[in-house]
Formats: sequence, structure tokens, C-alpha cells
Amino acid sequence: MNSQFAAQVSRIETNLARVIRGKTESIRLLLTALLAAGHTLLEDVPGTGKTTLAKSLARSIDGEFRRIQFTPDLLPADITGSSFYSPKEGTFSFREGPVFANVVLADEINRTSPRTQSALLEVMSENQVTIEGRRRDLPQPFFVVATQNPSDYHGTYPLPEAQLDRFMVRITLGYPDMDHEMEILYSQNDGHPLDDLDPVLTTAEVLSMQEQIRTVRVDRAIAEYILRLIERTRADSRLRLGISPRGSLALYRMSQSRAAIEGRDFVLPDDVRALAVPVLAHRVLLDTKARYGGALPQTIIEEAMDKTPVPR
Amino acid sequence: MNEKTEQMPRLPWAVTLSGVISLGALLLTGHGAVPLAYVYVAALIATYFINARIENGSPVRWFVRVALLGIAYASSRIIDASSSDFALLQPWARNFFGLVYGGEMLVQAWRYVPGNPRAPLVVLFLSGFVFLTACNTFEDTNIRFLAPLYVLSLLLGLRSYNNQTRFAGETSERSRRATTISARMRAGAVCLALLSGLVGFRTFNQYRGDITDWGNNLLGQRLERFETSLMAEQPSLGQSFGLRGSPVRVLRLTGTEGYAGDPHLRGMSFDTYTDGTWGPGVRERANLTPNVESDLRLPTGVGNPLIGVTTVVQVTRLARGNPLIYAPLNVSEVDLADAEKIRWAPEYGGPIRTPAAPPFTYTLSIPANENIQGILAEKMTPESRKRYMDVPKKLDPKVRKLARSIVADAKRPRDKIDNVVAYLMTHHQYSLTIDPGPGDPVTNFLLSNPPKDAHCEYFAASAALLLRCVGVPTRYVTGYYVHEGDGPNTSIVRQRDAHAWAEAWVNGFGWVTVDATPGSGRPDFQPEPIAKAQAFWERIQDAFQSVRDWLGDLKPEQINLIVGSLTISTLVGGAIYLLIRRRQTGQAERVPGYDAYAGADERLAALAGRFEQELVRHGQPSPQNRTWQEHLSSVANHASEDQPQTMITLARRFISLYERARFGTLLRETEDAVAAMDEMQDLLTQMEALPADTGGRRPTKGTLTTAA
Repeated sequence: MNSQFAAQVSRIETNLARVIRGKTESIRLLLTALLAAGHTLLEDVPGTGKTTLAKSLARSIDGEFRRIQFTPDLLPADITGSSFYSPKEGTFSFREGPVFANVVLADEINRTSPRTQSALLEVMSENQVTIEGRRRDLPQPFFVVATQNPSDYHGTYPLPEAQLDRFMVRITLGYPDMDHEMEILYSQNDGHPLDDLDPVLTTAEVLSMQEQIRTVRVDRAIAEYILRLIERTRADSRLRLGISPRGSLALYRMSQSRAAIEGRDFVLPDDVRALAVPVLAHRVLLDTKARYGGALPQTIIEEAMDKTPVPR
Repeated sequence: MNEKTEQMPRLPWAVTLSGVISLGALLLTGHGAVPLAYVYVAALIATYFINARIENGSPVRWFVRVALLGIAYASSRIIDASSSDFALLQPWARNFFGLVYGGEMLVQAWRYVPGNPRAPLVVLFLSGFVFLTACNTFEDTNIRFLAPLYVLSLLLGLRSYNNQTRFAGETSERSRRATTISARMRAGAVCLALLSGLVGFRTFNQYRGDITDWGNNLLGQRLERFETSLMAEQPSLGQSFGLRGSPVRVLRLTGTEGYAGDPHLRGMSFDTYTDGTWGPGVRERANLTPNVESDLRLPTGVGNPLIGVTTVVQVTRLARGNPLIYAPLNVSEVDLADAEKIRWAPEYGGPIRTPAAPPFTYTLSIPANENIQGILAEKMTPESRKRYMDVPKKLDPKVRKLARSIVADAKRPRDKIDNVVAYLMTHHQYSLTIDPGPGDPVTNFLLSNPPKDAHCEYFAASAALLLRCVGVPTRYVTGYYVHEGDGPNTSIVRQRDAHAWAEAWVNGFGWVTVDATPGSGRPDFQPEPIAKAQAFWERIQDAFQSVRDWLGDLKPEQINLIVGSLTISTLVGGAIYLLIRRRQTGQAERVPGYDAYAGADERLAALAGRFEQELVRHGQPSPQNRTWQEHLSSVANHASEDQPQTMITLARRFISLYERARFGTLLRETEDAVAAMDEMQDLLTQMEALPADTGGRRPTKGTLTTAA
């Protein structure tokens, strides 16, 4: 990768690190997803900085940012937009919904009804909205960051598998360690650092970076390694649902993105291995016996990695 | 990376508890005589208070192991009481093996393997070994309380192991729910285990005798204790011959030309007859005199020139169940060389009894002249003559009449005997069953018209009573009839060879055997041969027995030598096996048919092969499921400070070049490619020049770390 790319990556990483302390890996993963043109699901308990992270990313890009707070009474039209009658002009005109933005923060996505959730589906996979039979393209780049709180259970609608599959990566933030939490306390003394954040990348730059990522070389052996991993999850008897081709594609693209961010123009098996859990774990579905037996998706992916020989 | 200051991993409390309980069991079954176990307990608990561990690969571990082995051997010899419990091991061996397992458990508890989540599992496993070794006795009541406690701690230990391996970051509601449910299931499993343990224990306790018998039979002889014990009972004339039984082997006779003497081996003789039962019974006999414990050797006729040539026959008692010594009537000497004391009331014609447990061997000296009166044929006294002439008052007068008519004009006792035998053999036929009808069975048998068929007890009893009616003293005898050969110079006696006959006193001569049973009823007329399965089973028993005999002949030192060398060779073999396994971990994980270098340039593959060989040579074979970078990171993380980093530095440079060539586009850039190839060659040459560092730390195959 050229030096310009590296500079852009470091700019946005520094920018994000100013707000989100001590979470370099999560930031990098989010960035990897952004450059791989995939959507992200941030999953963790409240107060760990999910929304802040998404907002800082949006602010770092000089583009449109919209936030949708998902509530039980939200309707599909509230997301995509709708036509309304203008008595002055005597015509119907279309008002764009909040998805017409470069970065969309779908906050607490599991609090809305499945009907509204699936309205987001089309948007996420096709980058377009169809309203009243008319197709409307979304602005580019289009990046959805959804957050959900897995610990609350009352009044939530767990995301259906089909929808989970559309997220390229699931990131858990976790609590910061003591030193970093101390920094957080002091940094917010005079005001939230988020307010001082300036855009460091233009949308055009993001698009060009997304283009460059595709030039990263993936050796046949690496692609084969990805497929072997995926194949193993499909053969796993503990899984009701293995990983779809969409999953392999995501792992492929994410590996390219990670390689580029690390300054390489070729993918290493290490990239695949580092990304396997965040990219794949949310796509598998354990069968009941395995779930109550205490098995976890992460463990199953890790086991698959343990059993698959690495190309050299 | 300084590991000295970090918190050393501690075993979950339940795992430690399992260890302590198992050692406690060892202390209890060892009758508190294994002081080392106290030390073990203390050392196990000390892991909580001392923040230091034995490093993996450290020679200290082996030193401790060997030392503990020696101390365990020494202290296991301290046994205060010899236990007669049925157990697979001798008390000292139980202590020894328990201490060996306990020592290994301790070593594992103190061992430090970075990132190894299995350590508690290994300790649990070993505690199980200790516990099972300690409980290898069915007597100790302590086990009753310890077993449920141990099972509980075992389950808790397994649970904590499970928790430990759980991914730390997972807090999703679903998994929490799953945890709650599986916790309930575990609690249920604990209750179930306790319950089934209790039930199992009660059942086991109830059938302990049977199980012990079964174990004894497996190790020794299969025996029909019931059948053979009947031989020591009072015979009672019934519908079928109660003594005639299975083909279980009772005696083996070994001697010159097998057994050539009188085939009647007598066990007990009876003189009083009442209502179809011969007496006296065992209880009454116990009060008869003399009935003292005698020497091993019976009063012999040795030195008596009349005895002449004798055949010495070795008799081995195989089956248990009755305490009798069997010998022919004319035996001149019975020598129980290695058996215990015997009890004998000679005035009553036997029986000779011994409490010795089979298999034991005694020697019979049998005169070639069958007319010799042996030690069992004691002289007739007026008092005993009265007993041998006793005819029940209730006996039907027709029987006396019949007796007189049979004897007719014969005057000499020998003729009388011949007449009676001839009469019984010709007038009655042999049958294993008879319906004697109401009243005295012998009377019914003798006076029946048409003549009834009966088994040997009837013939023997009839002969005895008829002869008594005509003035010949007789007695009723039970024993075995020898007829079956078993290889050269050997005869075998089975339970189905049980027989009954009579002995009559001939004035001026002595006791003679009177067998009035028709030929088809004698045990030598066997309609069915021995089943093949039975013969096979007997061969196995004999093989077992010969091993036992051989072991019995060994001196204690020799046994120690054998056990010791077996133990040591097992330990050494196991250690070598483990070492080889560990050497091969890099290779062992290879997936057959999978080529890690598929699609790689040939020159690159050759370089990679050399590189992997280098890793193996430095004692760090790279597992197939990790990348070299990951492997090297963990090697570097666990390398000790004094270990030269040169190899790792060289390897890092090699890997970064190699990866660019393998997965990147380096090889297409001609000039760079040549330079890179040269550099890789150079790096490998440098690595190969380094001395092999086999003492290096080996990273364990654990959780995969993301390469930084």
C-alpha cells in the first residue's frame, strides 16, 4: 500500500483514539470493516462507549451522519423516508429518511420490531431504498454501525439470523482497564472530547480507500485456508447453521482490509486468523444441546482454527 | 517478559479438595501408616500460599518425582496390620501406588505451564487414581462416607474447570441463561450421582460375599461349594442321588501308573441308620472322642513287613466346600505335607478333616496288596461292633427274612457278602431316580414287587442293612470312585464321580469294601463325556494354577524384584513414550494428505522445509495449526532471559521475507526476488550454524494468540 493510504489510516486512528481510550483493537476492527465496505454490529453492555465510538467515526469522516434511536414504535417509513403531500405546491414530495447518510448509527437496534429491523435489511445489503416502487440510491460510502445491548432481555427483539449475517463484523468493546478509565475520567472534565473532533477524511477518500483494498493480493492458498475454515464450521455437528458464502466473502474482504491497514499488499494467514472470530462468530447458530452444554460460537470458531492446518 | 512477578495460577478449590479427600482415603485405608500422605496434603494446600511454581521443563520436577518415588516406596512398607480384605493389591502395594499417584498429583499441582487450562483436569484425574487405589478394599467403612464426598468434589472440580475454559468476554443473555440451566442440570447430576452412589454402595455391600466369591473363583477354582459341601453331610436316602453332580474337578491323583489301587476313595463312614438317614451327623461327631487336633502325619504302618510294596500317590484337592481328606480303605499313610492340622476320630472310621484351603496336596501310601488293613481300618471293639450291628427296631421283619433267605446256607462272612451283593445286583437295576414311597425307603426298596430301580445309596444302604441282619458288621461309606485318566500317571476325580458303598467286617481278616451297585450305576459308566467347553475351562484353570504355584514358590525378594522391575520399566517406558510424543507434536498434528506448501514456488518450499527443520532442531517444532509468526511469538514469550535471542531474531527476519515471497508479489519483482532468495539462504545458513538449543521453553498448544 502506498504511503498516502498509510497516512490516512493513521490519521483516522489517532482521531478515534483521542475519544475512545485503550480500545485500539476495536477501533482497528471498526476501521477494517469501514474500509471493507461492511456494516458493523457493536455489541456490549451499556456505557462501554459503543455510541461514542460510532459517533466519533462518523465525525472523523467529512460526510453525512445520522443517528436512529430504535424504539418499539419505530416504523419502516421512519427509517427509509416517505412521500408527503405539500398543499402549497399541490404535489407529493419525498422526504428522505435517516438512512440517507454516509454513516448511520442504528442505536439499540434490538429494541425495535422485526418489521422495522427488516426494513434496514434491504438498505444494508443493497445500498438502496425502494419507496413507493421507486428506487433511490443511497449516498456513497454507506456505513451502518448498529449497537445492541445483549444483557437486556425485556422488550427486545433479538436480531434474526438473516440480519446478523448482513453485518460484516461483530465487535465487543469490553470494559476499559483501570489506567484508561482514569484517562476517560480526566479527559471528560472540561467537556466531551467528541465535541472537539474534526473530520480527517473526506467521503471521496474513503471510497478510494475502499477501492484500493480490492487490489490487495490474496494467494490461492489463503483463499483455500478461508474455505477450509468455513467448511469445518459447516461440518460441525454442534452447529445448526454453518457459515454462508456471504461469510466467506466477508472474511476474504476483511482480510484484505486488515492487510492494507497493516501496510501490506498481500494477505497473510495471520490476517484470516485474527479476523475469524469477529467476522464469523455471530454468523453461526448453535444447536440447543450445544448451547445448553455451554459451548460458545467463539470457541467453535477457535476450535475450527485449531484443527485446520495453516498454509505456509 | 518477566514471569517471576506475575500471579501464579492456582487450582480451583474443588480440585484441591478432591486431592485432599483422595489422600485422606489413602490415609484411612493405610491405617494411618503412610505419613507421607500428610506431607502431600500440606504441600497441596501450600500451593495457595506460595507464589512459586516449578517451571515447565525444569529438572527440579524430575528430581522431585524420583525423590518422591523413593520415599513412597520406603514409607509404603510401613504397615501395621495385615489386612485380609479382598483387594486387588496387597496393603503395602496399595500404599505404594497411592503414594506414587499422589506424588504425581502434587508435581502437577506445582507445575507451571503457561496458558495451560488443563492443569486442574490432570490433577483431578490423578486424584481419581489415588482415590481408587485407596478404595481398593471392600472392608473399610470410611469409604462409605468418603465416596460421596469425593464424587461431589470431583463434580465441582469439573465444573470449575469448565468455567475456567469459558471465554471470558462473553456476557450475552443467552449464554447466561444457558449457564443457569446447565448449573441446574449439574446440580441435578450431583444429586443423581450421590443417589446412585448410595444405591450402588448398598447393593454392593449386600452382595459383597457373592462378589468376593466370584473374585475368588476367577482367581482360583470355579467351585460348586454347595455340591461338594454335601459330601460332608449326612446322607439321606431320597428320590435322586443328591451327591451326583457336575463335572467340577474335585481331586487330582498323580502317582506311578496313575491310580491302580482300590477305586473307592472314602470320605465319611456312617453306622447308625434311622428312617432313611445315616448318622452320626457332623454335629454329633464333633462330640465324639477322640477328636483332637493331630499331627500332619497319621499313625503309619511303616515298618510293618506285611504292608510290602506301596504306591505313593499325590492327591491334590482342587474344589472347596468340604473339609474331608479322601483315601482308599487300605491306605497305610496319609501325609499332609504342607496342609494344616487335621482332625480325626479313628474309631469311627474317619472322616479325616482339615481346615486347609484348596488347592493343597497330600500324599497317600497305598499298599499294592489290597487286603492290607490300612490306618482307616481300625480294629473292631465290642463297643463299635454294637454300633455296626445296629438294625432299626422298626425295620420290617420281612427284611430280616429276606436277608436270611438271600444268605441261605452260607456260613462264612465272605460268602454272605457275596450272596447279598449278587442278590442286589441281579434283582434290582440302576436308576438315578426312585420313588421310595411312604415309610422306610430301604424297606420299600427291598420288598418292592416288581423290584424297584434305585441309585447307589439304596444299594449301599440295603447291602449294609441286609448284612447286619445276618450278623456281619457293616458301615455305610460315601466318597468318590476313581476311574478317569487325565494324561500320563494322572487321574482326575469329578463331583459326578461321587459314590456310596458299604464296608463289612470279616472276622479274622478285617474291613472289606462292599459295592453292591450294578455296573451301569458305577461312576465309571458315564453316558456323557466331558464337554469341550469344560475341558477348555479346566485347561485355563490349570494354567492359572501353575502361575500361582510358580509365584508361590518365589521368595519375597524375588517378588519384590519382579514387581519393582515391572514398575520401573512401565514408568520408564511411559516417560519415553511421552518424550517421543512431545518431540513429535510438530509432526503429529499433520493432517494426512494436506500440503501446506500447495501452490508455493519450489525453491520457496525447499527453504520452508529447511526452516522447519531448524525449528525442530532448536526444540521448537511448529504446530501445523498455527502460523510461524504466532509460533515464534509464543516461543519468544516463554523464552527465559538467558536464552539467546539470536535464533528468534533470525527466524523473524526469515519469516517476514518468506511471507512476502509466498503470499505477496516479491517473486515477480525479479531483482528483489534474487536478493531476497539470497538473504533467506543466508539467514538459514546462520541459523544452522547456531548450536541446537533443546533445553528451550516449549510453548504449549493452547489458546491461539493473535500475532501482534
